[in-house]
Amino acid sequence: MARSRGFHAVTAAAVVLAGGLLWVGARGAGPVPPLGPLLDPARGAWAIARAAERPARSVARIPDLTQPVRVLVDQRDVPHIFAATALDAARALGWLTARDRLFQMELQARAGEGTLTELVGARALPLDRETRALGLDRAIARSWAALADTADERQLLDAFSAGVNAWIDAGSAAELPLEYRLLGVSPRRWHPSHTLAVLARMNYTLSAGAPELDRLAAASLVGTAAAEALFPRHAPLVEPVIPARRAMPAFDLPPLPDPGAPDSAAGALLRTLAAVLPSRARDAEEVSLGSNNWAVAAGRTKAGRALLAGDPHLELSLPSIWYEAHVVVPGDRDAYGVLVPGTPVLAIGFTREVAWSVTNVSGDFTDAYRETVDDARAPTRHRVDGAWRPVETWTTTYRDPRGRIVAVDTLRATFRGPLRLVGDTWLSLRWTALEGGHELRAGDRLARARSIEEALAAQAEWQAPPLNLLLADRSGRIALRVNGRFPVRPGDGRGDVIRDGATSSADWTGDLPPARLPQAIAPEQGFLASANQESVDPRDDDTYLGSTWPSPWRALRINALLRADSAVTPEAMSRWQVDAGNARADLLVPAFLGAVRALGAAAPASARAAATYLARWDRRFGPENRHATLFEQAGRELGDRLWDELWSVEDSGGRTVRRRPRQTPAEMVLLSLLRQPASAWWDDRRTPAVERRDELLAQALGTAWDTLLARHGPAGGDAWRWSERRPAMVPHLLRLRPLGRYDIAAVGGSGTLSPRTPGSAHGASWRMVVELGDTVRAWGIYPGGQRGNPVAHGYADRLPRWARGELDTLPMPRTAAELPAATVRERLTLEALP
Amino acid sequence: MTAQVRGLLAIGAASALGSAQAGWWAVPAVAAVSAIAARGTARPWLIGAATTLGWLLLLSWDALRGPVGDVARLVGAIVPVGAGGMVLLTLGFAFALGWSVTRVVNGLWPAR
Repeated sequence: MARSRGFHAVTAAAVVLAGGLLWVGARGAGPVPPLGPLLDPARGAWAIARAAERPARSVARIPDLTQPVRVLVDQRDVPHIFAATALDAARALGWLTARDRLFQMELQARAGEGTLTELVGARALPLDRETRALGLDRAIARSWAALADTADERQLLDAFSAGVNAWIDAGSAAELPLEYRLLGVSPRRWHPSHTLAVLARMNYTLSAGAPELDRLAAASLVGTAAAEALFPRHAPLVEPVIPARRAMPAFDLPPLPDPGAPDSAAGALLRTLAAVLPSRARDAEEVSLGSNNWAVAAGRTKAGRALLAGDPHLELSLPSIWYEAHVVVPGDRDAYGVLVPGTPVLAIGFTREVAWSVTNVSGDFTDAYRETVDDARAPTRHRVDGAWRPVETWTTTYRDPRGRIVAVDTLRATFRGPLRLVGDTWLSLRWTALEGGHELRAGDRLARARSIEEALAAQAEWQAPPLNLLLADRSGRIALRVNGRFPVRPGDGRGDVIRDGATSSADWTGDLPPARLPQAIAPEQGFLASANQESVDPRDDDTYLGSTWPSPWRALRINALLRADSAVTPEAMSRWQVDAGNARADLLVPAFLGAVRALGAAAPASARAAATYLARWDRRFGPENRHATLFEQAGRELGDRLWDELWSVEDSGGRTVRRRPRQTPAEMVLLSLLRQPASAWWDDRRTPAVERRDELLAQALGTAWDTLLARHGPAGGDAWRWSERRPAMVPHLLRLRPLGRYDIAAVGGSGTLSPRTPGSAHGASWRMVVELGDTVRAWGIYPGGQRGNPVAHGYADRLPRWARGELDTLPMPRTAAELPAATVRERLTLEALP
Repeated sequence: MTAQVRGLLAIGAASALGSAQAGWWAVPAVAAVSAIAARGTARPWLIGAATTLGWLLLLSWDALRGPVGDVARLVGAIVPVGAGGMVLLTLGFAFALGWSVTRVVNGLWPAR
């Protein structure tokens, strides 16, 4: 029987359709991932529903376990690991973190080694390029190669990896993270060096500001003298990490010189330097954030037991930055805390004897060297002390998830570090983060410490990033060390200049010896606090540690609270972590009000109305507060007018474009200027009038008032609520909006102890309070949950309590039997793979 | 029960079991085998309906064991087709595979 023309047409259409479906099903098309593995109800995205709940009892196998490991997962999804040896515990930790956070681990490791394109495609190429150009991938490889097979760090890494890979090998389709299915890729096996890559990524994240850039940018516009004053080496508002000899806080507010003539050489230098430093160090907004920790010795607490609180502030994400775990190895450790998924050591936590928390040191750990090379286009040698030294050259290839080449770069390095051509200058970068360390071993030993002294000894090997390590122990004492590797520079010791690479006399001469690291052990004042502020009062010790110290608003606030309370309780510590008070507002609001008062009837009507409204403010940044919105808007208006000299003017296609400065001076510098009412800085040069302090402050306040009325309606309306204007957010790691959480009403603002800046996801990533007595009591929370599965209850279950400023009680059973059965969600036995 | 219904249930079951064991490739494979077994006379819409039924069974199995609605809402927002669209896309993909593969096999079968 002959077939009709229609039959053939339908067949042809079916061939095209089937071919298209098979192609899109297997390979995807453009941004569409492979649909087959995504839509498959048995193994695709749907399958994660089956993994939302886990069985109450289960058994899994891991190679090389010496004895079975018992794991009880509590109601908060925190595993309590009971193992016979530390390496067995590391294997279990690897297995558990892989089960909950495998995609996050791989993403962070790839970010650290610069292979993100292999996971997410070419869109990650700029990130990978920077990572490799900075030499992070080679630093990881060097660190790994330097670990002997028998080294304890190597064994720890191997054990952790074995656990991760055991989960990958046995993982069910349902447990595979959703992100892999969306990207259409499979997990890669975990290599021990991937843990080093995760640490490298953390190092990059914590790379502090680059004072050279801020100062050069200002010098290119207003001259060097003014720039030095706008971005001073020492914080003019003094409340250092290490208790000072004089009364604190202190105001060392030197007069600001008027704007000077532009320094054109500084402008050229700025463009050069901005291209070689880590981009995190160029991101000025970061510097104003940071972390808090504080501790109170037994003598100043109500119960007579030492208290410690810590809350690192990082870019919040879902799945959460931290993973909470409790590890018990009889005779070795009984430690509870949080770790970065992909690493086997607790970064912040406590044992029954010691508690610890860290904040970032806003120091200077990078230096750039202008190199003299043999070939301006493709150098093979660079000159040092009149002799040529080799330039190492290699090519690096970036691939997409299918292995196709995305890009190939030629990279170079001198003995100092990565070498890059910027303009017509070859610059090499030296950075402590590229030079190895034993942070893993230091972290592992900390979990076994029994006293402050043991903890400090354990951390002596910590190099990068330098951290303010705060400790408390069961004897009731507290201590803080500005801990890490601080390079010693020749000459005046400053690191905020570009050095001449042609002479070895420009090189670092060594490191600050441990005995010279700033530290305070059992201080007389009975409390210690750090919030990324300057480490030491320069009148006590002027050793160069850095020169990008943020305004110490948080340090001022917490120290004020600590000084005012000589019977501190854990509840007070917890309350202070979400304290809505703000030292910045306390100092700046009176300036606005005083200006309007001084001008009297001459002040604009809007400024007078705004001042009346602002005067009623309690200067707190609670979610329901309306006045904070006006204060922040006035601050923005003031900054735009006050620092108009720092705006650069550029020609853009025949049009003159004014660009905001990359960084305006820290607000603490404004305090100096407030004492100079007739300074030229107060004049907004864009207006014909010559403004003085009070006129400019009143103008800023009045404009803010008018702006908010126009945008948000009558003053005090719901649209003025602080939570409306600056909500917290916790985006997904891949910025997939449905998997993130937005518009969260929570306390906090610029300068509060729980800080928040506009449009940023930065915030308190883990809040912890520990009381060390005969029994340790601890509380903690982070904004998210333990699980990486977005349809599991534990994905973001803690977020509402975090937003309300509440902490969860952290159970710390000595044995499996001590954990009440009603609080156990899952009983897991890990056995050796036969 | 008619032969047609029996066939639909059998192919649906094969499609579900195949997907659970071997992944989504089981759908075109089952459709192709069914069409070949029918010597080019299989009804494409019936095979399509059967493969859809197979995936519907798997979806129901997922729904019994976890929050499938949440998955539909989340993934449907990412894709983005919405929760209902996600279900339709899934079942539509299974149907289109079953129908088109069957139709291709029928078309390639020698005319009688």
